[in-house]
Amino acid sequence: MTSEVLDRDVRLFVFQQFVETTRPPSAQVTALAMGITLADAAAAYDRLASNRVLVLEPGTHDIRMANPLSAIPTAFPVSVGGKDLYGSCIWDALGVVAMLGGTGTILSSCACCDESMPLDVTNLKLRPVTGVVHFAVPAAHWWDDIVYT
Amino acid sequence: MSIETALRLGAIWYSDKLDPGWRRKTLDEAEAVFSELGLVGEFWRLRP
Repeated sequence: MTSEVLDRDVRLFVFQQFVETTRPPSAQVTALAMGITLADAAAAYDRLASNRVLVLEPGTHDIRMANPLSAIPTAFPVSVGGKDLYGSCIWDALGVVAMLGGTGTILSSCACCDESMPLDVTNLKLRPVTGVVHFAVPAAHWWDDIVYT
Repeated sequence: MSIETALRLGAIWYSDKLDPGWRRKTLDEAEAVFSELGLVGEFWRLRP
């Protein structure tokens, strides 16, 4: 199996597991489920991280982000398809809804006053709401520190 | 940007993320998406 094929299969497994269980699989779980060695699973995680498909916790193979999904709680919780997930940012939270069928709710809040601002999306249509989305970091620098971004 | 635009961006970016054939967008493709959504100017340039 080429690394390209393996990485595709690992990526699909990671995302499917993440959505199904609301947690990203460890490299060990991935290796066992896919019938590959831990070394091969870890290497695939590393390649996927190098290609910005996964974000790993520094020095580990623990998945921090599999965009649009965040492995840790953020200010962008998403309720979709009976699952409670987190987006890494508002763009990603909306992306979670889009990725999983187009209907869901982002339980967001205003960044300056913390007022609740739920965003209800039905078939990729947003229930009218007042507000804007603010990006603090210019696009060319998003990956300088993607966790901060 | 408006929340509606952010939703369109999220949909364009992630609707196919679970597809086996998904691949990362090239810089040109990404900048074309931004332009299509009216996200233009220095802030939205992906190349420093």
